[in-house]
Amino acid sequence: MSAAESLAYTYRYAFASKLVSQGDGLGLRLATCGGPEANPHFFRGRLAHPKEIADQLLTLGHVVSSRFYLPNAMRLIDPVVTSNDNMLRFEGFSSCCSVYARADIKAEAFEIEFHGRGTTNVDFNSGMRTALARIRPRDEVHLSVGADELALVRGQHTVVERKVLLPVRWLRGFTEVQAYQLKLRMRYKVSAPDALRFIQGMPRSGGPKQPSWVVPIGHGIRLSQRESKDGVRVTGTDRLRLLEGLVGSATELHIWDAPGTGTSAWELVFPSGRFTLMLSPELSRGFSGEGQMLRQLAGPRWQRALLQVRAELLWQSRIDAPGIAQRCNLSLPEVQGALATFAARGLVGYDAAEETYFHRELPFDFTAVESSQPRLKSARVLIAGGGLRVLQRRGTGDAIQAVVMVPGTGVEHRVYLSPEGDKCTCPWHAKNRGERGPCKHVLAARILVEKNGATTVMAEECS
Amino acid sequence: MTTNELERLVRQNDIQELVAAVAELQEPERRKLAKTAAGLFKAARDATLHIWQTVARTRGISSDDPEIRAANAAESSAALAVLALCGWSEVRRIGPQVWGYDLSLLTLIEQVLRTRRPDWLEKWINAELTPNHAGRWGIVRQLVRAGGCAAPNSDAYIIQMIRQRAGRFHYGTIKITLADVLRGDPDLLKDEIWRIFEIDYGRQCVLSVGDGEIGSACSWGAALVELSDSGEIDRQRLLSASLLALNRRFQVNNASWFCRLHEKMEPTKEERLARQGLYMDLLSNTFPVVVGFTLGAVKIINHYSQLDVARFTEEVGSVFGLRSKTHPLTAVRILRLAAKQTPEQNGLIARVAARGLAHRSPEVQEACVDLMEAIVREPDPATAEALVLHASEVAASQRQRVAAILNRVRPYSPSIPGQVTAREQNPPECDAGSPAENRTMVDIMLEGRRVAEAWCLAAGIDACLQAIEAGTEPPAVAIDPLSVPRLASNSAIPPIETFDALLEGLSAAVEKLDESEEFESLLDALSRQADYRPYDFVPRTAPLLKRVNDLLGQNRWISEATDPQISLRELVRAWIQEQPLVGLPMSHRRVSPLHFISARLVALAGRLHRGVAAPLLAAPTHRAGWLDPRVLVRRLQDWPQGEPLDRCDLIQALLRMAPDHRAVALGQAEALPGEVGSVLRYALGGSEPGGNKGGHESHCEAKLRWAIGGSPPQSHDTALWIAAARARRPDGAFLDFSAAPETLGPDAALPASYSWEVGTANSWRKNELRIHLTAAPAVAAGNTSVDRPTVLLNEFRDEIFPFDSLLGIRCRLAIWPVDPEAMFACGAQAIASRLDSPASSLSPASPYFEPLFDPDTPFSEMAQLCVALGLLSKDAGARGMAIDVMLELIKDGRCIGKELGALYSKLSATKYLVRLNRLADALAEVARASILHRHAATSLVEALLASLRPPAPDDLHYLLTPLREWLAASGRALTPACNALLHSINGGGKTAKLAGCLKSQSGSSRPQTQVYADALRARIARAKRWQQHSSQMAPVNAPL
Repeated sequence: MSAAESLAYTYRYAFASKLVSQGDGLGLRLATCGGPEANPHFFRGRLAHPKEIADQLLTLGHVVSSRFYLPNAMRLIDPVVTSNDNMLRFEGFSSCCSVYARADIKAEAFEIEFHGRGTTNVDFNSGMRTALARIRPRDEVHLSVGADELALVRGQHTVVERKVLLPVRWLRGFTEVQAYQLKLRMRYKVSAPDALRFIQGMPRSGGPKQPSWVVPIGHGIRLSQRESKDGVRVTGTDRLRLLEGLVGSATELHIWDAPGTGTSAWELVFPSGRFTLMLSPELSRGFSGEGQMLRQLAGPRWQRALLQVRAELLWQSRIDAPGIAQRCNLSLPEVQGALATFAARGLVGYDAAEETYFHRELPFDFTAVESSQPRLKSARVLIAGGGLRVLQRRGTGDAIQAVVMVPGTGVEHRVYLSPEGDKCTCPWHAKNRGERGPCKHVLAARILVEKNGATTVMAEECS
Repeated sequence: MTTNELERLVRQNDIQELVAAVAELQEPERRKLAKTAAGLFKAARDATLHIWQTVARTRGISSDDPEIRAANAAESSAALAVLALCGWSEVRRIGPQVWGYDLSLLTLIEQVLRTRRPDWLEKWINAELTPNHAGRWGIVRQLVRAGGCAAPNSDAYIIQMIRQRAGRFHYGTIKITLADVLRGDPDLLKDEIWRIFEIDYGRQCVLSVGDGEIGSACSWGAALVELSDSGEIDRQRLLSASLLALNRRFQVNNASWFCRLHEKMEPTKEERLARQGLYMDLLSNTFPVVVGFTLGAVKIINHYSQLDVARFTEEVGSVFGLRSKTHPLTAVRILRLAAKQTPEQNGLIARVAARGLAHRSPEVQEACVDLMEAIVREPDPATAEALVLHASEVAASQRQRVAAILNRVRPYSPSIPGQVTAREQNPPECDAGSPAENRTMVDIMLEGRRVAEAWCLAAGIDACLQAIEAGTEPPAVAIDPLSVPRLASNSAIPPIETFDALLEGLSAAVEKLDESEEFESLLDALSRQADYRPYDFVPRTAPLLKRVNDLLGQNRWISEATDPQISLRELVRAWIQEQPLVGLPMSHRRVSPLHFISARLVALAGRLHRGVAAPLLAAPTHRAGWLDPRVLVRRLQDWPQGEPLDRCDLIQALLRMAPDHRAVALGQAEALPGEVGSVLRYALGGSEPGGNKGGHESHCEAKLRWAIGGSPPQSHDTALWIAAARARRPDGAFLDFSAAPETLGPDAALPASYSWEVGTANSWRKNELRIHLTAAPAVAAGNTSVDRPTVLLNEFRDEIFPFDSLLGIRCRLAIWPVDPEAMFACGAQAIASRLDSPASSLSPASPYFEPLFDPDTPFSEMAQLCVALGLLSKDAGARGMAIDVMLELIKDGRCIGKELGALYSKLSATKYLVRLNRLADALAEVARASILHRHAATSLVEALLASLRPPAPDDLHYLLTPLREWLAASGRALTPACNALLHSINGGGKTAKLAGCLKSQSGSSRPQTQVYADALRARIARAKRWQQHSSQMAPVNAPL
């Protein structure tokens, strides 16, 4: 399956999401589809900050309806919502997968009437977004994610079916973004007026073509063109303008970066929760193609822990890794490794602000996605071809060191495996130097060396 | 129907009969003929392509060409057969261009599809409606109307309807209006036109393109208004729909169209009043155009005295979150009117006006303060709370007024939690007494006086202390680039040691290479490992060779004359294949500095070919291209015996020598033999062997004399001696060497001097402003000497599209690091040529500023021009970099602002060159950094105002607005030199008002104590750094 390939997917909503009159106030009814049931009903409650939450959902709507690279190839793909024990999270990607957005709404932001658990798609139709824009701060708004059967029968709703070609890369983005979230560290806390000034001061007529760095100046921050160790690297600054409609009502802006990757996260803090916008390292590089999770998927690592940890996932909004380790008699690294593997399979997400995983099971078939990882698939083809030669091999597990010759197109590539970082002589590695995950040759070499060990070593040693 | 009959009908282009013949066929029969139809179509398409190619070669393509017309008709017939008989896999291959614009053919397509009703019809419709497809919305609509399919419910159906003007083209005449088209299809009026207001346009600009510009006949706005006026569509619904659609916040041009449509309908008073709620919803819209439209409507409602003030005050707060000041100012005006009409709501109005204090524009803040002063009369804790919340954002000019209002609204309310006065939030910058009385300042001055005398003078400490005592501006630090150390220990470049590291570096560099240091390091590693060929050299380098061959085989935008990366790829190929390298061609262009780099690569390739390992003479030992002179001496001493020196590499090495350790190196070079030894010693400051100023010609003099046409000396290498002279003294004039030194060009025997003037482009882009630069002495016409890089750097080309690469610019910057003046001039020209263009990867401008981040690079005349133009540039990259540089220049004392003010005054002589809004924005960013920066920005503007002659520029208010704030914040009065211009500004406009405020601004004229403290600290830090580096005279241990 190529990177551009898609899965036929049908959104089948029991009704169209909409804002309706409900008693003295309004009812924001989000239609659901997929997950534990065909049309699950997770949540019902009154919004304490209706305008704030409406604005966050609207911005999420803008994210999923945006595309910053090749704008004409836009596809609107609905966000997913996860209902955890004390958090409601809405997640989505831009069509180009270079922007990930998540609205985390705390339980305190609701007067909860009903709170289930699960993850599902939510219909973000145009009409609903129009209605969201009209919600006022003093409106009485009840939010329901899904609807019970009784309400459906009473309401005479029409089923909404939308067939989309779900790009595989869009699904992969959900897993890849978790790897970056793990690396995030907070760099700046900016007051709301300074944040507004910064976002409004962004270049309007096409941003800089070279990377920019966000650096402090006076009380606030500014965009610098000079590389700075203390700065946060940003490219495609147009993407930050998605926050323009939201930043005015936030209390603070937190800026995070994943050192050495060029990825940044922009977290707006609200009384009701947080809205996070994560930017990929380049405009032309969606999160989907990053391959940070490939090593996690390739190896047989954490196999022992996977089943035990899986049984511990109970829709927590904060997964207590040390607790699981204690209960399952596993080491903490094993649990963390297993959680990272689950993240690669869409079973958990990572919350950088809380520094913890949360349980969410994306309502898509990730087995197909995993098996269609182009580099992983190519690596397996290389192994099946049988042309790999292990020249040197030393150590085991994470300390493994090896030199493996892997067949390429017309040439043989030399792969160096080492704890300090794997290397390869192929153009992919030369271009990215490991920043975008391992190349297919490194993956093939890793799979071979980690799986079969010394038994496959051919007696061909270099002096 | 048989295959033969099908073939006959298609070949005869008898499409009417073809359609009639297939109409009765059942699907199984059609499938039987599908293969034949597909074959006929393929043959027809191949034939068409062949004919097009033949015609293009022989007589030129024309749509009237009978042969082409016949071929197109044949292809259309075959395509129709495919549509009638084949499955989706074949149908999808028919491109939209096959059908052309023959209306009868389009009708036949509809007929075929209607009668056949294939199972792929939905896919075909979707394909016809895709945005990138020149689709036929009209055919789809005909199908829908004929009952061939249901109306698609996709957004694309509506978007294509809009774009294709509801199939107006299908009527075959331009006389029919869009309104008539819609009348002719009444179902559209019932459903489709209302979906225009409901669908999601995403980021596509659909509605505004061509609507109205082409003419009212095909304008959607005009059509809808006409239909509404005639009662054919519901006017009230249309009015509401146009407002509701604006809540979707899609692409701004679409939003603008809905606003225009609404206003085109000229709503009556009643209609507006009935929709007051809908208008109010739009005040929180993020598009300024929508907010502007809404405020216009609200103003009208207010005119009728029927504004819902409570609702308006609830909603209007978000208007103050907009970036522009126009709409917030309008909102304040409406609030003022509302306050007059409904005084009982003044509390509410004051609270919402307080939100305006957080707006970035002081003008908006002032308007809000004016309003509050007018309406706030009694204590109001809620208003006080709102004021305190935003007080920290208040502009300096408004702080006292806000504090006064605050005192008015809370005289008896000390219990407001956490409240502070505006003054407490923004304490005035303390500037008690003169600097000499300020204890911290005294300590800094004492510290300054303790610095060693030589460094005190060089770093400008003396001058700064004198300025402090006299209460005048501290002068900018003037730097002699050769008298200060440049080799910081933390900027040493580690060499590439191993073969594996070299291969890895080269593999990465052939893919992407932006840094000149990396480029030189790789050349150096290749040079050192020239004799190293391990037994597995071929398999280990095979992937690299394959990649290099692939890359060199690709088409490219940038040529090797612009990007040294391409030359590097060729060098790598030559190295692996053990072949010599051919240098850059010089046939059609003048010689550029990159030809000099290429010549170095050719020499290196020759040595690699011969397998002679040696260090690269010019490989920098430190960042920014600097070479430790002691290392150069060692490299020359260790040069392989019998191997000729790489001459261009030696020239490059001489030009890269840092000022540090020259005396030590001179001692070490005493024993170097021959002309190379003489040249090196001369470059290091030694006296010329045999030199005799008393009458006999020196060795160097002989070389230069020969170079300008005199009799040749015994041995001569002019280029080498020019490089040595420039390394010895970059700004030196070697006049005693010859009678006509100017014939050698700029920066040869004489230092280059630059002049510039603003003109227009020498091309078809005549309306674009350019900077025409001239270097003196002039570069000789037809100069092709690649070995005089200092001269080559002074060749300025006025190109229409100045393509360049990051690496190309950085490599040129690294040729002569001690004197980047020519590169600054080049940068100024490049920035000026794209002053009003957005950033482009093909013309990067930011690297030109990079040398200025070195605090020891002088802020010379050309550097000033480069920065001045950078601050005016629309290119966000260049402008951002210019701001970064300004921050550094001011911080370390090289720039005090005045010098740029004078420069802008000169640039202002050309209209439209200095856009004061851009300059004001850039300076506002600079001024945020510190009090010292704000002071420099103030000085810059004051210097510009002082040198401008009346009449004042139209856009002067952009500069006066921040100037007023800066002066207010620092408690300073405007310098009297500006009065001439300000007094010439009359009238009641924005500029005149600001001029009045500035003239009345009172305060001291001396800089603030903090300015002196920061300026002096920077100079002390500089002196200490120089002192520390110059004392590091340890024996050289840098790698060779």
